[in-house]
Amino acid sequence: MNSLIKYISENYSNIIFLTWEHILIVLIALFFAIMIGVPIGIFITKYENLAKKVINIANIFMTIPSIALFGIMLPLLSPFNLGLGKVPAVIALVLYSQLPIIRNTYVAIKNVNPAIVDAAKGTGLSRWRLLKEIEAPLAIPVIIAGVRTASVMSIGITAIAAYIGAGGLGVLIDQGISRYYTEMVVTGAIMVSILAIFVDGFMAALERISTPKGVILGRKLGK
Amino acid sequence: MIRYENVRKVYTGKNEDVVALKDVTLNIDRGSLVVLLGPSGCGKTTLLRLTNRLEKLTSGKILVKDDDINKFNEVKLRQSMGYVIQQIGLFPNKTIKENVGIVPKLLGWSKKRIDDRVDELLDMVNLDPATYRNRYPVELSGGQQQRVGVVRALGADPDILLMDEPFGAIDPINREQIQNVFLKLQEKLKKTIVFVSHDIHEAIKMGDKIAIFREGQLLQYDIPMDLLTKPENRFVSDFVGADRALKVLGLIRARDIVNKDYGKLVIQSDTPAEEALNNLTGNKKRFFIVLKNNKPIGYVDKQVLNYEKGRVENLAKPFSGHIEMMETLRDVLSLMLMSEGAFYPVVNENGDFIGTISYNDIQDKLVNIYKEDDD
Repeated sequence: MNSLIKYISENYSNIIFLTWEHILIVLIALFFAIMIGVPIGIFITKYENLAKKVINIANIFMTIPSIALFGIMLPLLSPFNLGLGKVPAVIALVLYSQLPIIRNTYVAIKNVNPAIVDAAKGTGLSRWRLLKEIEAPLAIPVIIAGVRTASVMSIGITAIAAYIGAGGLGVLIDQGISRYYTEMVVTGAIMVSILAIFVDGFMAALERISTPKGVILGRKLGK
Repeated sequence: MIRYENVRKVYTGKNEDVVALKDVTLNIDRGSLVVLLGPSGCGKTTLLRLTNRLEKLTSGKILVKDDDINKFNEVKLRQSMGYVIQQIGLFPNKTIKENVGIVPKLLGWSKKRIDDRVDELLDMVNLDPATYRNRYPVELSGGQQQRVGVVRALGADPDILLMDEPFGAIDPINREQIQNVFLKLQEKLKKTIVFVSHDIHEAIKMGDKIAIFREGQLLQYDIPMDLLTKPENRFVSDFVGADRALKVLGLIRARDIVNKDYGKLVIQSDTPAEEALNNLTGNKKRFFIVLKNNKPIGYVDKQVLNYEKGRVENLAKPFSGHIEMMETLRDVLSLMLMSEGAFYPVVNENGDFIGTISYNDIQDKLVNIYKEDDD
């Protein structure tokens, strides 16, 4: 225990840097994942057949082990000199995040009561208005739940991405193992875990805040 | 106001096409409430949804104020017609105020104007604006929610309302109530209303005219009375029910048959019993209605007058009920069935005596109606 504290106090600037690097990779990946996944999720609510295919493809990406995916991307990206480093890590995270984000967006919009949608259309809301005024506010908490899953998963996968030189807290684990440096490994592991728990809690709060008041009241009243 | 010309709707299925409406032609007058009536799958809802283009016309034409609805922008068209559905479909993420004010907001009204309009509308359906405007739909009962649903449709004061079984999901007691509230509203507003229902009682109660549908075809389009007394075919007569004569009673009011030839039937309250008895035997009547200040206080018959003395007002036996001019014969008959009296005094809203109604009057009226039918 003392040796662990000693390690941390001697290396704290490096630990902070790696933590920040770790967060940055996840944030960049999530940004692109949301920009791609949410519109796809909304789009496929209108095309039932396409929806199944898209979700299946996203599912396949999710099934590939991360270390294997890095391996596959290496020959594909090395012609552009991007086979190693942060780029393949971010691409992998974006691909992994697609399933929870697309699926949750799709389900959230599909789950909006058809009677509400019918009333909205019949009342004279345009497609865009319907999405903005009704579907999106009702769907956002569920979409955020998808992003929550994706972000926690991404924090874990980023730790592995250290093996392809992406940086982040995985570096401590990777180097610690090859050097039999237990304190280093443990520090990396603890920091990754804390990060994941913190982000999970943060996203849970976001989920709650984004839930419309009328919906929260409905849950309380058991309707 | 709304004209349907040879309206045809075919749903193209995988195996076979389904014809939902077969060349329906129908004219709805300005300010009238027309009920589209029929069993499920008869095409009534489809016709309604074609009107605001929630469904696409296969062939034929729908004209609103002489303009083809296809000329308008779909969204603008819908904003110009109120839309109420059975499942209500209030927006759960919006307050009552935001729900009711949705179309005015889309039309770009000022905030102040929207607020005033919302309060006015909530008042119309007996929902206190101060209590309800900032609540969310889940905080209201089903009946209250549907009232909000109705006034949401009235938001921007459209000329036309489309209502798809609007009161179908509400429990019977509240349904009665909201129907009455709505009828009162309609008396004032005089909107042109297309009202889908599968309930003959509701149709008779609400409709200025009723259009009966079966399997996509318009079978009969008439005022409720004619539908009940002159059904054009077997399906219509079955649909309006074997008890259609009783339903007719619901359409006739006491004032329509009140017997005002009562001159020899009434007696003033200060008449002595002896004089009354003489009058009675002289006119070969069995009883008199006793009037005091032109209000019926009861009746006296031979039995009483034979054995009692004094003014008739002290001898009068009270009626078990009074009939008001606007009461339906259905209620009148019900009152008669519950008590011994074979006839009743009819009074106006001040309680003044107008005339009488007896069993025979009711029967004569019905017999006459159905006689006309045979001619």
